[in-house]
Amino acid sequence: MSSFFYLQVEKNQKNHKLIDSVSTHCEQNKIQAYLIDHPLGDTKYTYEYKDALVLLIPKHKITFIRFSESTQKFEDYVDDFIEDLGSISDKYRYKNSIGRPKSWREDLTTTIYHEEIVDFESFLASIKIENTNRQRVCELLISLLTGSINDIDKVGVETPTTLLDQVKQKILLFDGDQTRFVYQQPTKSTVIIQGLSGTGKTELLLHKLKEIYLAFPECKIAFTCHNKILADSLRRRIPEFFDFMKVEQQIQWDERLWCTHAWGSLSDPNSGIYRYICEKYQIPFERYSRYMSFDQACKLALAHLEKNPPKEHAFDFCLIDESQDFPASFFDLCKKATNSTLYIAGDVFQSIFDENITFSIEPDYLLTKCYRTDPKTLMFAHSLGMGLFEPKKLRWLEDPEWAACGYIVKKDESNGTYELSREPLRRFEDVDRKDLPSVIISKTSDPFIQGASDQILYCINQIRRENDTVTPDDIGVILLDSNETAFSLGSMLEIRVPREIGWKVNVAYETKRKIRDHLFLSNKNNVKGLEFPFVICVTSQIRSSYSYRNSVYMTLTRSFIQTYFVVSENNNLKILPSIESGLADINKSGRIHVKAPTGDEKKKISATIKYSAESESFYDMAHRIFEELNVLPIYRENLLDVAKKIFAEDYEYERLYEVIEFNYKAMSED
Amino acid sequence: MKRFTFQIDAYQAQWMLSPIRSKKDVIYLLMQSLKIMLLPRVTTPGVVGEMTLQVEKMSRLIFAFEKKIFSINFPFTAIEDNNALIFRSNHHPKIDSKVASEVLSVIAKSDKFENKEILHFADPISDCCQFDDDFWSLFRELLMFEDGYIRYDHDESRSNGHLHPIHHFDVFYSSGNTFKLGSANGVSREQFVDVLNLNTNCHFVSPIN
Repeated sequence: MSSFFYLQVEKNQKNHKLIDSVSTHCEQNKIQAYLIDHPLGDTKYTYEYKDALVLLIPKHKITFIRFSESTQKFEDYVDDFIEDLGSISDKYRYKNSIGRPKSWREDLTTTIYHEEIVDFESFLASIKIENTNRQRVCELLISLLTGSINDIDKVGVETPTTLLDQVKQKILLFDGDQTRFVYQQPTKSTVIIQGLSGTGKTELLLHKLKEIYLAFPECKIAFTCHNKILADSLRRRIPEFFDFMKVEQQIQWDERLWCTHAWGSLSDPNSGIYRYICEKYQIPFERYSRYMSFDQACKLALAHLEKNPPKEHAFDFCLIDESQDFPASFFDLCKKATNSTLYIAGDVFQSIFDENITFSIEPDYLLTKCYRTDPKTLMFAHSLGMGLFEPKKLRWLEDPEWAACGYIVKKDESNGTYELSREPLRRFEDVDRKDLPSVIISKTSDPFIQGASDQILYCINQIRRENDTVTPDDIGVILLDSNETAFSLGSMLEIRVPREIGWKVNVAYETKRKIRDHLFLSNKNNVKGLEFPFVICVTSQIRSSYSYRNSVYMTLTRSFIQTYFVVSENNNLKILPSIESGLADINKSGRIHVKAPTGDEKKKISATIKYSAESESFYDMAHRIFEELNVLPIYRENLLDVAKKIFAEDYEYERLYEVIEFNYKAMSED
Repeated sequence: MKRFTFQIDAYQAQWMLSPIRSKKDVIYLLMQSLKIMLLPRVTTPGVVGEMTLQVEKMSRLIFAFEKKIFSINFPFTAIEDNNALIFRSNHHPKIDSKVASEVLSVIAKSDKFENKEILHFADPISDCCQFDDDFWSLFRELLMFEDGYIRYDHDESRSNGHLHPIHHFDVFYSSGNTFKLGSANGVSREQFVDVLNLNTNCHFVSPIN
């Protein structure tokens, strides 16, 4: 079923015609629609009357469709429904902003008998709301009915006027896939949800958690991810989220709900999911060491459970986020310990250089729409990440893989050219971007620290000129390089930004957190989970190593309005012109036009990726090169030191080879 | 004698003047100062103070503002090279902005430095060591070095007879340890440095009548 359409009810003889026409129309015209018979997100609203459906389409009146002859019971149903919607609006404090039902019932809702809908298009035209402020109220009502609650103090009722506010205050609605994930009862014991980063997976897991927590008052739930910092932040988010969703129940930590990272430590049985399982089933706990991987620890635990089958379950539900970080054995272990359902959410591809991004196990929900990022920005990020505009491409996807990443592929077989495009997003639909480019390449002069800091200040001032309401929180400056120059540039900005703009700077690679009312300055290692209206990415040289390109991709997609890509002009003379023209095409046409690599080229690309996928460490790669060059052992230690100083965390085979070869020659000549 | 002076604006003064209460604050101050000293010199508009690195027999960083002058030990060697400064220590060959930022990230208020689990503290340090063998040695050096904190205050608002003289020196920073030495007429920046300078005559403390 399409992500544009959500259907809550079963099809039957009476309603199937209407359901089909809504579904087809929405799919064809890319508009969001929901057909429901009671408000989602709160189980207490149920109705005896079953011969009606409520059609929800943004910018259109909420329409109650009657499928039976009798009108009396239908009218009662409509009255009850609207009364309940009024009380939901009160519950989430929307009432003060959108008013009581009497102020919106008349012009934002309507009723119709299903046989009166002859032509769906003309029917839609008849329920269209013209006034933009009233459209907004209607969207807020839809958000209440679909459980996609927005913070009314942040989005407001008035139609925002500036571009920044339009995007920031856009009323967010779940799409069809997201709504199904949250509200549908699973038919399987393991539910897999996958999507690009920015598709809202964690948010959905939180909604699911809330649904389960309320629906099954006695149940035990585990919510986990691999990384401790992310798990801590999840644990902080849950009470905030429950508060926001007006959950009246207390959270019973470590009695009904465990939210920790996966491993845990010996001293506290509730410090990790694996730790808790060990405690529950009296399995010897393995602690982390260089000789004990998590995979191994899970396998040992599974073997133990194999011998001593558990009599009861540790959890009823288990929700796993960032599943790409886990070995399969952890899922098996969780499955053994979980009574009802295991929900697993992860990225389609954490790295654009991952192999096999189509799946060995088909996900139950595939989220292809990246709601964070403007589609044009995402296209440029993919293009630059994969080197699509460069003579030597670094990555190519097969057609089903392009589709899994949300691309619509059109190709011209005769000359091997591809046209890749993405579906538009609701978040940006009403925003008048005029000719505003999504990505701007901003070239700097030398020396880099001076040139780049000048240019970054220029970009910030440009953003401030174009957006009156911008605050320091709206901009993220991300340094892609990890050499000393990049850190000096950081210190330079730390001094110049307050001095010349009057904004405080949060050097996040030092503070490791977000600070309100500060300009966020970070490097590629600390951008996970962040988003900003504006992002300024900075790099001295566009290099070809996979880890570097993947960071470029990750970083560029952190913005939802505009990305500035600040690069040194002199260091990139060779490739900048083709990248600039590719970007100009994306900005203008909204599409990527690219020539597919030939069969040979494709083979070469995948061979290189395969080699690096075995993730050769710096030492191993250097060692391999020593062997290839027959470097005498006495020189190896010193050469390794030199190479380490030059490359920091970012190394690639060809350049490392050059450096070792050159230095070896110099050393052995001495 | 080596002496390098850096002009400080109001924004930098904010963090420089935030009170020192622990060794961690001293390390923070030292690393932030190092980052400034490593940058190419730019002119500072709106100067409100000065930071000086003075190395002779003593080796100290001195921060001078209108009503406050303070100093900490500078535990590294400074080398002037081509108009720029290079810093090294007994345990680390080159302490650059990257190293300084890494130290700052380890001590940042987070679950690393104050974690009761040793590995949460050790892991990030071990990560840094992957590409900088000397990082742990440097970090240990920072934990162990004597900070030598001394401050001169000209504080009219909180003065209280001889218990809290208008002009006074504060020696050390932790609450059970710190003490004041009164000064009749206050000191200038030069006099403050002179107190600390091992190559000039000593100053004498005597009880007042």
